[in-house]
Amino acid sequence: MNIAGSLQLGFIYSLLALGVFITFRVMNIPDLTADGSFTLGLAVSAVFCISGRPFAGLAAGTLCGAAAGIVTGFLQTKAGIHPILAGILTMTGLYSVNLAVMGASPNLSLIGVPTVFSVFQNAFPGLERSAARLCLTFFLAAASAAALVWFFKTSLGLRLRAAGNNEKMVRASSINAEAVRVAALAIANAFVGLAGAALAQYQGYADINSGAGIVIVGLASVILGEIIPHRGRAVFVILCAALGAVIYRLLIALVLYLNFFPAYMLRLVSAFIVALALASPKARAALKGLRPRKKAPPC
Amino acid sequence: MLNVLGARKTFEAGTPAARTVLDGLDLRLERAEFATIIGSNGAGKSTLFAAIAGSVFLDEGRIILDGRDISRKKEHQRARDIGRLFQDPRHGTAPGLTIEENLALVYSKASGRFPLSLAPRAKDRAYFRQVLSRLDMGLEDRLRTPVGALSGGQRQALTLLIATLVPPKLLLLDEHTAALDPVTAKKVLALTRDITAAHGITTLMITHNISSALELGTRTLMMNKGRIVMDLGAEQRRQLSVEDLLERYKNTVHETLDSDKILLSG
Repeated sequence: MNIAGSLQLGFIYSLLALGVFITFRVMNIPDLTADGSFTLGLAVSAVFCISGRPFAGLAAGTLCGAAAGIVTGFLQTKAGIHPILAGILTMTGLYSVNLAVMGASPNLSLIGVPTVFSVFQNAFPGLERSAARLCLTFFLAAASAAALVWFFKTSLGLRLRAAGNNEKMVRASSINAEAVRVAALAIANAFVGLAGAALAQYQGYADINSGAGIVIVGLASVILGEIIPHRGRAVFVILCAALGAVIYRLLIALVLYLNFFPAYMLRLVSAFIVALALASPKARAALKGLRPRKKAPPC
Repeated sequence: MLNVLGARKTFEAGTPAARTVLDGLDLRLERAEFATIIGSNGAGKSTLFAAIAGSVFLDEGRIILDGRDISRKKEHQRARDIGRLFQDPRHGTAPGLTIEENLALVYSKASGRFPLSLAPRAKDRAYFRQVLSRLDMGLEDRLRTPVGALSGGQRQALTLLIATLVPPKLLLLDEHTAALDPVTAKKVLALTRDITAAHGITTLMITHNISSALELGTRTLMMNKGRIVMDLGAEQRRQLSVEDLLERYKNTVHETLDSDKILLSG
């Protein structure tokens, strides 16, 4: 069982988990843009690497992810399209965009091309390859989580959390709830784009289908993170979401090592975990013979 | 301060279910005036508030606030000048955020700070503590308590405080004490009176409590079928008892004041 490798992947996927956490958990919007923005980050990052600028690749992947989020945000607010459909529209459109970015090729190889990992490795030749990768992915995850913790304490971060918590209140205050929603989608998909950008350089290739079903992977990670007992403060909630991705990768490594099921069953298992977790409040209520509490009617 | 001119609103217009809820309503409020509004269910009171606050747009008519026509402005743009409280104490605050975060949310926006500045700042806390202590509910020592853990009365008092933290030009109170127990309701009403008087805030208050409609503020309006059918100034109100008012309502509208939660005394 490759624990170091699972940790490295887990740290990269924790960026995805943070993005999904912002939309699904903080804002309460089901956002499917991630399938497209993840691959967009991957594609942009690979193209930048090939042109010799791996660090710019990470930045560009992040920005492109944010742009994809903004598109979904405008579809949801200005065009008034249902959040799920808005995400699917962006994701579908991005498939063509991603192919265009990759020069109409379904995959790009980064073998022999400088990546942030090879640059880092060369800067610290004393470090083992695996240790170097672990350091860099951990730094990326820690810095991202820290950035999100800081952001949630800013005025804009507060608006975002309040909008997910009580949108009626935000609308009745002088805050532009639509702008907050667009900002949230931009920031969430920036994290997702960065996750894709880092993954491309980590695995040394970009594939057009890397993003398929990635929303569920992110959501499963967030849900696994919620199992960790913690105090309710924002810092811990964010850390748990990020750690959830690491747990997810470790679990996958474990079941593959124990040979419970073949690797191609992973997505089905992920979908099952998410469905189970989302159904649990209702199932628990049914077991108690109670109906789930209804929300207060809007008036 | 507030001028509503010929407000007209029909829901589901052009269908058999069409309901005209505002029928050419005119209303003029002077600066720092505090008027109470009573009327049957469906008289259009809440729709009037929604139209003033911008969550509903009028079919016809104009709304002028402090000399500016705000009829076409969006809700959040009007909210800079208009504070609004609802009957349900849960509407005005975010339960998952702490007391200080709820205050900072509105305060940092109203003081025009950069969106990426920290909220609340250290010096804000001292100020929040000071204003919270005016509520006399011990909330000043619970800045980091999630608002969801507060009682309905505490939440409504906090909502009132947030709505007036930066004094608005107009305060709309939609039965904001109806869901509270009588003791707490009395306290929140007293707070309402103190805060609006201290800042000279122009206020409109919908109530089903006839005696507080006559006691609070300086003017009582009665609505029926989308219009204001009775407008009593301070002098006229003083001579009226609750029974007189109900009698006058009966004579004006030709039906008894029907409301599922009308209160004769408070």
